[in-house]
Amino acid sequence: MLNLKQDHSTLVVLSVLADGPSYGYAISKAIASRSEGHFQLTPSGMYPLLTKLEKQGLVTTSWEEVKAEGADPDANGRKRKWYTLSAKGHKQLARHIEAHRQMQALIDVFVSPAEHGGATPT
Amino acid sequence: MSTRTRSSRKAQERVLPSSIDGIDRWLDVLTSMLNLPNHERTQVRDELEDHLRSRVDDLLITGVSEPDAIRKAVEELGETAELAVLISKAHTQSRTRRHIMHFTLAATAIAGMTFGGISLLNPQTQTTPPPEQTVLMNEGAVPVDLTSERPIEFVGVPFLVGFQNIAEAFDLDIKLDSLEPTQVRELQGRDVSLSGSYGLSHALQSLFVQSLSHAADLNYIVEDGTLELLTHDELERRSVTTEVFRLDHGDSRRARTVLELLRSKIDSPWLRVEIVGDSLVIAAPESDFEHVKPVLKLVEKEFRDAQRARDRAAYEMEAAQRNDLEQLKSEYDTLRESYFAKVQELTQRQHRYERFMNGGSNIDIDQLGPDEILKLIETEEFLVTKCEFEAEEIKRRLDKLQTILIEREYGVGDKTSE
Repeated sequence: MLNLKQDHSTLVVLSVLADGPSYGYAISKAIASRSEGHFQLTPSGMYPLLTKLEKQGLVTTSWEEVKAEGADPDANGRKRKWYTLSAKGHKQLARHIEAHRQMQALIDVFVSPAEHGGATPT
Repeated sequence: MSTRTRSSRKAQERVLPSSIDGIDRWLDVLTSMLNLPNHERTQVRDELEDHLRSRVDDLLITGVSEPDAIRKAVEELGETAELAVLISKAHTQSRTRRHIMHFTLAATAIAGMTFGGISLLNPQTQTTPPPEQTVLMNEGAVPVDLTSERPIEFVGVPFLVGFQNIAEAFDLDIKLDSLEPTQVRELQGRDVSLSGSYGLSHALQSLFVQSLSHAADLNYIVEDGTLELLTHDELERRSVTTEVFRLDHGDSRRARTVLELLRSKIDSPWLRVEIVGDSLVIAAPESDFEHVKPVLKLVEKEFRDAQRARDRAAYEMEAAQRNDLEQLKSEYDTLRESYFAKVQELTQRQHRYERFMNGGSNIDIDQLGPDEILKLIETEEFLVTKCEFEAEEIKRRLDKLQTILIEREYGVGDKTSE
């Protein structure tokens, strides 16, 4: 399992939120599930990052009261913080994706030189 | 304690709960370490509680026992102190990407001093904009040059409208979230005008000068494309940073000393010093952190000196006891010699007495009368008895001294001699 680096975690979290609003624990599960367990964003990386995204206006947040199954309907449940990608977040994600594709294309030039007109060994 | 360890794993305490109430206790510890206003602390706590309980629910479904599920869920969150630092930092954010102006400095300038080389007493006479060195970097975007001048034109508008006009001239959004509604209303009350080409700082200073009574305690920050107006207190709160210092020996007395010394140097409600495991967690405004290291060094030195003094006193006491012991040993040796001498004397006296009684003595008893013989026998008997008594007396003192010596040397009573 790989721990996500800062640059990648922003892209990955914004991508998860592009599928729809989500909350911290569900985001970490979605990352593990979509990467088939190869990627892991630790809570100590994720919650500060989500705060940063919120401060930058890339996500908006809202709170929901959650009650455990079988719990007293009159009792207070716990609070869940939902994150939704904002318009600014969508734009930022598009920029991240574009930058990622450009970087990938550049790297490909080096790792597969033949396909890009580079010299081939004889 | 001198090692500065922001995230040293060894340095921080694991607080692993083993029951649902344990989750609450762990959350209490974590939130107590957050350098955030109460409402933000509560939100962080609620969010992490949801994370923990969701994780525990998932683990319970897989058949893990409840105490193990809680322990694992908390372990996955990472080091408590480290997580608190990271979350606090994310909320307060780094100042390196910020462009900050202290209006309070300008207020001092109004009192007759100059700021940036320009008199602020009469803004109309300003011909040169104040120096601006900051070029703001928006993360992953084109740098915004705040030093360039932009044309700005508004006449007789409320302060906040003027503020918005300036922000728009520099393609910035505005943010007033941290101001109280009463402060915003006060700012709305004063009309301001600006006309010409201005750098951002120059424009805001001009605006400020025109509404000084309302904006005396305000600062601004430019960050991530947003121009934010905020109070000095709020600015200080956001600059609060947390550092974790390793303690050589977890010592709450030392933390209290550090706290008292820091309080005398740092006048901020945001100062906090706590012992967590074998670490000292200190939170203070970034600008006040310069006081922290010297204080830590001072306290460390005082504790080291105190420890040395304690070591020296202990050594001296040990030396005194050692001297005392040597003296006792010497007394014991002398007493033993006199005991042996007395025993020898006793043996000789007993032989002499026996020889006398058996007629083997040099004394010619035929020359003595019966009274004299009786007196001689009594004398010899008395001398033997006296010698026996003296030998016993010395032996008692010797035994007593031996007991004391064994106690001193081994710290125990001599059971075998009883």
